[in-house]
Order: sequence, then structure tokens, then C-alpha cells
Amino acid sequence: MSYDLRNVSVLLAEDIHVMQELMGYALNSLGVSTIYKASDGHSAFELFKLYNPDVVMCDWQMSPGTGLDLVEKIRQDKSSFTRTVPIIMITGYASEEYVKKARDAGVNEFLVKPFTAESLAGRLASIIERPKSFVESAHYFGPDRRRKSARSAYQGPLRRSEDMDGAGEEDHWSVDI
Amino acid sequence: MKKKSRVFQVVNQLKQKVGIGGFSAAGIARAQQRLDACSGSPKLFEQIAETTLVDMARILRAYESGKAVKPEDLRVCVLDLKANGQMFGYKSITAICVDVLDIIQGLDGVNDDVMALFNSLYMSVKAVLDNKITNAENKVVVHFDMEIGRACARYRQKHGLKSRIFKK
Repeated sequence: MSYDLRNVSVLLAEDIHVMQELMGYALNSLGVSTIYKASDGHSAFELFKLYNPDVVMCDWQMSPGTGLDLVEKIRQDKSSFTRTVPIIMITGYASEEYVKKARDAGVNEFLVKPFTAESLAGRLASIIERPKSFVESAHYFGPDRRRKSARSAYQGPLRRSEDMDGAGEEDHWSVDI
Repeated sequence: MKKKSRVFQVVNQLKQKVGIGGFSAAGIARAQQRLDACSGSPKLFEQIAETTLVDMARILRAYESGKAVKPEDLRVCVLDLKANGQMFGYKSITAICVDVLDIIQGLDGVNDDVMALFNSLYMSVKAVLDNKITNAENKVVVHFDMEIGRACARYRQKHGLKSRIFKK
């Protein structure tokens, strides 16, 4: 038995047409049947509001409106009840600075080009199987940015209810380079 | 009044939709076949790179004429070349972009030296594409890589920067 993704919709924002087609084929091969495609951050946000997709995948470098702008718009748009949609950022570079920027904007996962089908499936599996809690504060709305590994230094008994949910799990803020 | 922070769990609708079992091995294999087909089609990259080269030339002209150029403008071009080069079977381009990208990543503002590096990269990428050299081990590519690497080393020395890349 495997995932049934026939009812899952993905918004794919990628400015390079060839890359957009390639990503579309790869997602189709993994079983995703509904893919909404956009070539820039602005039109992607319009499609997002229109179709309410289950997952957003966006390239970082797009114009007008970068992938980061798109993530910020989705997370900050208080009129939308889909602010918690899982977002995967696709980029060519995964420096600490880039990862931190994306994380602070509210990205769930990072997919670094060039990627394999395995890593693409891995990122999707991660948002399906290990969704993060969300944090809403005066300055941030998005997935919990705290690393579980930081908590793992604690050796005492687990007494909080959330400890039970993720006990023993590895931090899944991971990046394949 | 200061807004209180809250942490909450979102109903996992995605999981409810897809069920259990993970991705099928056959699906992953099909997706990989698609990706592999692209890495065997350097022509696709040539189309992408043509557009990027036009952007690079525009940025170089803008700087020469005294117009403002942001580090982000340079970053976008070099990142596109590096990432897509590898993806679409042009490892040669990826190889010669690595050093310059390392410098551009940490750039706060553009200067004459970094624009000279950017120009060298532009000329090298153009030459590699004109001659359709895809292999990173090609003699010409290795030479370009070495020359750009040396120029980047001089830049780092002059501007007191450390390299953040590791080359095998």
C-alpha cells in the first residue's frame, strides 16, 4: 500500500519554464494529479487564494515577487484560513544564511537543486508524516522553528504532553546539498 | 497590549487525504527517470543559460553606466547557472560558478572588484556554452575554474574574506 495523492493539489511557483515542466512531471510520477503552475510570486499568490492548494512549492529566485515574498504573503495574510499550508522552498543554494531567512519567513522544508526524486519524495513525506506545530506571535507566524535536537540534551523525565508526540524524533529541518 | 504568543497543532489534512504507506518505489523510480532524462538534455539548459547571460550582460552594462546594481542581482544569475547547470547536465557551468557564488553570497554591496569577477564568469560561461562543453573535467573548463579560483582568492585576500567552500 502506498500514498494516494490523487486528491492532493500542489501550487508550483517556478520562473524557469523547463524547470516548471520537469517538476510537474516529477510530481505527476509521484502520483500528484493537480498542479497549479505560476511563473512568479505575485501570480502564485493569486492562484493560492483561488485554489487553496494542499502544498506550495516555490523557487526562491523569481520576479516579480520572489519565493520568499510569496511565503511571507501566505503566512501573513490574516484573511486566509490556509496560512498554515505546508511550503517547500526550492533553491540552488543552502547556506546557513539562506536557510535561516527561509525558516524565519515560515518555510516548512527546503529542497536544494539539483535534487533527486528520492529527496523530492522525502520532503513531501516529511510534511505529510511530521507536520510541525505552528507558532503565532507578534512578529512571526509559521512552523515552529525550534530544533527538537536542542531539547534532546535534556536527560530527565518527559512530563509535557508535546514531549510524547515527538519523543525520540530527529529534527527534520534538514537540507540535502 | 502586547500580543501573546501561542503554539498550536494544525489538523493534518494532507495525511488524511493521502493515507498510509509512503511513496511507492515505482513512483519514485518514474520521477527519477524524468529527472535523468533532463540531465541528459543539455539543450534545455542552453535555453535557460541564454536568458541568464542576457541578464548578466544587462547588469554589467548598467554598472558601467553608473546605475545601481544590487548584490541580489548578481546572486540570482550565478545561482541559476550553478543550480540548473548541474540539474540539466552542464556540470562544467556549475564547476566554474562555485567560487564566484561563494563571494557573492556574503556580499553587502557591489564594488569594482566583484564586478570584474562577475564579468570573468560571464565571459567564461559564454565561452563554455558557445563550445557546448558540458563536462566539468574538460581541459578548458578546468583552466577557467583555476583562473576564476585564483581571482577569487586574490579578492578574498584583498577584502579580508574567508572561503566557505570545500572542493574535493
